[in-house]
Amino acid sequence: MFEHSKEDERDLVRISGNIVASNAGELKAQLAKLLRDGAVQLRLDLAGVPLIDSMGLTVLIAAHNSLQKTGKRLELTNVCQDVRKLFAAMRLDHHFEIIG
Amino acid sequence: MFTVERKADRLEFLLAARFELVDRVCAEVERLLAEHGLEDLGFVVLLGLREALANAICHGARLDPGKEIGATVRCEERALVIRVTDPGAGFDWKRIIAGKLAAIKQQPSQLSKRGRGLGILLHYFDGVSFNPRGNVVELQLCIPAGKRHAP
Repeated sequence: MFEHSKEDERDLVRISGNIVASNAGELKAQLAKLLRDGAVQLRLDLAGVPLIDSMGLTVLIAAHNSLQKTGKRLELTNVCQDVRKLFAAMRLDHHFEIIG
Repeated sequence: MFTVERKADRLEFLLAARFELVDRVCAEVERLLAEHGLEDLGFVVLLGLREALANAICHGARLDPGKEIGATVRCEERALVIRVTDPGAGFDWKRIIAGKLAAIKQQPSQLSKRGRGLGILLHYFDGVSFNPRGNVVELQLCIPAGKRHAP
């Protein structure tokens, strides 16, 4: 579900599968570890994510809030249309940096 | 604990209050949608179902896996109906709906980490209703004319 790589200063995380209640805790812990280890530019590739529920949104918001303390924003790429609309409906699209 | 009863137009579930069982419910419902030609509604239906079940597990069963949640997903002629029942004491939904509907629709503080579940239901579904006690929620999603076909 979680594949991490490093591109220059950016930490890239590819996620596959839904981000939902049953796995949100695991993803939250993995992202928190990256942030503790010093990640300041975090990009999540959501090409393999067809659905995110409110607990999944909570994980993304927690990562965003942590990054914001260092003046950075959470970057999201390859966001499918349904999830993009969900971000807009929840007014999160103005906070996350959605690329592409 | 997980049981599913399959009928032509509906699925009826009884499950322990565990998040991983929600994934099994959703897999069954995806098949039901496909049988009725309603795959296009999959995102909204599965999102709503997940939110309703998560609320039931968190607030109704208070994360106690020894408690049971009931769920029915029914394909009617013009609507898809999701009904989730939890074992909790319920909540004062009249106050929530009357007093906070506007705030929920406007969404909580944008960086708030919680409080989006009910907002998602109200945004995506044509009908969101509760029983008087507040431990049964019913979601209605209109099916566009001509969309559904018999399995």
